[in-house]
Amino acid sequence: MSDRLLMLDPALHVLALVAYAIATSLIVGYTLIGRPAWGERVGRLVLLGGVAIHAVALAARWAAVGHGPYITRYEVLSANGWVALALWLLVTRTYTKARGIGVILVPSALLIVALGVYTGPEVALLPPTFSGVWLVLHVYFYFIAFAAALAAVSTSVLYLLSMRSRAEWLSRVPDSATLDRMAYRIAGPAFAFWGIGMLTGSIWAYYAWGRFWGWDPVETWSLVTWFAFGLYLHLRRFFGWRGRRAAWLLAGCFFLAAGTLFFTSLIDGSLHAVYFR
Amino acid sequence: MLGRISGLLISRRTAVTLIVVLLVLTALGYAIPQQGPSGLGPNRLGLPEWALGAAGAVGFDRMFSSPAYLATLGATLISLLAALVQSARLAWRRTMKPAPGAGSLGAMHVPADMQRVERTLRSGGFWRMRAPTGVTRYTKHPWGYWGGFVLHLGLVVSIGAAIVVLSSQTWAIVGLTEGESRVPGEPWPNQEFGSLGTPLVLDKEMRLESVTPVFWDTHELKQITSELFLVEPGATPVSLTISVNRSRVFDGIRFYQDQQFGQAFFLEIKRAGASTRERVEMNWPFLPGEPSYFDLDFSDGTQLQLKYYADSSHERMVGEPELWGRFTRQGVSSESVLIEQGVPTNVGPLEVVLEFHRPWTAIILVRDHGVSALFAGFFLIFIGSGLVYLTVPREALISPDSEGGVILRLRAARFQDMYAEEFQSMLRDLGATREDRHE
Repeated sequence: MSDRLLMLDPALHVLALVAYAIATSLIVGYTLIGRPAWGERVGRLVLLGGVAIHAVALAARWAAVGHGPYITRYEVLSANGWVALALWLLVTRTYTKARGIGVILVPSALLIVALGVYTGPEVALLPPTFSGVWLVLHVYFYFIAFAAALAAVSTSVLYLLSMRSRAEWLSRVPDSATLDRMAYRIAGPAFAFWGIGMLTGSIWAYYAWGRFWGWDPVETWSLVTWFAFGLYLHLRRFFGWRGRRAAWLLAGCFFLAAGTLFFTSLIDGSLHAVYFR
Repeated sequence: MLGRISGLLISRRTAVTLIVVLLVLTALGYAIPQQGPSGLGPNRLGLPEWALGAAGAVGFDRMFSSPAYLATLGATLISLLAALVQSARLAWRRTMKPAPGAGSLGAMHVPADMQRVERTLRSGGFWRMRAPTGVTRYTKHPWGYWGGFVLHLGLVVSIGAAIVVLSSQTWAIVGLTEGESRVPGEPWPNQEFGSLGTPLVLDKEMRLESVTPVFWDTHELKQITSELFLVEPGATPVSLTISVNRSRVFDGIRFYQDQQFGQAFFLEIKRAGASTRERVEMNWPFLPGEPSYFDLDFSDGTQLQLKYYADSSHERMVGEPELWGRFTRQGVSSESVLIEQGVPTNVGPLEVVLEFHRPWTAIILVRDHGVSALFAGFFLIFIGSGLVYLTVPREALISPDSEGGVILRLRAARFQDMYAEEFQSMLRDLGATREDRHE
């Protein structure tokens, strides 16, 4: 049964990628050239189908390997991409203004998932420290935090584009003032979930290793990232930072987040070294 | 004077400055090699010697316990305390009084009576709140006013508790073989404690009864479980079974199973008429067909290089360990020789006897104070974040107007534009239109 599920997993991932690619073409095509008129609506439906297939792929792999998607690059990138797309679809069901950022967010998430699939579906079994509810909470809060950070940077990128260009397609996305406010609004949950991810990680570390913080490279850069988001929020709230400089700062925060999650764990000597191999 | 200090502490510039300083110092703590139990850490960015020397001179090679970092953390704590008081005052004011201003949609004339408006508000999740005479006030999620306060409270409690934990914590690690005991009073081979901590005292004999590793089919480590006995004369021994990520607490000390384990080889080494006994603790090999290595250094610069396989078949992770050794002098090594238990074996100029071997592992002992408060602080941060982002207060002020209807003011405490549609929907339900704006 496990072998069958392990065979099913990459096939479903590829199927999901195909759906994401079609959805991306429709959503980006509609946004850039305004055609077809049904492009955005059908694109979202295809995307929803892709997310459903992807969910089955993740569930199949989970059942086969006995642990959640948080050990190998394949699993981590796939799960991060899935959470970003699923949350975007969910939020934009009611908050329709955020649909416009799909032109950046959807292809970005597609790239993340594709990169994960490219690294190969080799299985890594769970090390002894990777167990317990706090680990699960730690990982999933970081998934949500990264999804929010991706949405925030997508909004900022769109804002910066809107400030540099008068292209016709920009009329099909929210205006620059709305994008600016939206970026601020999304950065808040990114900061909050990132912080909670750190805190649950501390609790997990305490029960696993006897210390809640050890200045591990991943821990250190996670804290730096959290400070950076905190700085962004304070500058916006109390110093009226708006517009371009706020957008660039938020982009910097996102790159710190991506670097923390996907690069610092590759440093030897990190307690997180078993993750993202 | 006090007012000026208080103003400085809660000023926005102070908050941002402290965040920037902490961010920069933390990043520097990664870039600059840090002193640790086994010496200076790696120079990841290839910093030149003069930079390392300069960093060491100002204590940046122990960044996270340096005066600069601790002072910044202390200033942050004080600033947060001041902000906490201010946010409590603000939250109380917002809870007890309506916010100033006309509201996000201005004042709207609603062609409905007070009872209908109040019914609509209540069904929409609004709660009646205190208000000045002549005005009726309803708020949705009034607890959301306290989000900032709870979040800051969580930060204060967490930082304060972290300082208590770090300064009072005592941490020790000891390697034991199966059947070996550590007796009370025996010094810990590796111990650390904070500035207010005291050496760890375990007044019972600690005996490692067994250590059992379990492997996946792929030979990767799945779990290590140790059974400890804590023995006091005249008392029943206490048994503690610990595994990785499954610690146990006894007598205020938490016992952890470390991930280090392997075999301890007890060797007698004869050389030039002299005999020494060595205890060599070697980590478990990663794969059945691959050995684990250890170099035993001698004072004349020569080495006895050892390697061991988990099992003599080279096919299993558990079984009868197999030890090999070779003698190395100035980079030139003798042939590797199998060292069997009880059999004197010539390894270069050495005669080596493997007296016995035992499974070995490391046990971590931690005594600390304030961890519960630390986790309580985490919980408050979690709740505060939820209150700030998920329960934004929406306020409705209603007063009767001269035409038999009601003047309604709607506002959100934050992110007004997100709730514009909610407000418009409410007004539509009450029969108001854009033209009903009240001036």
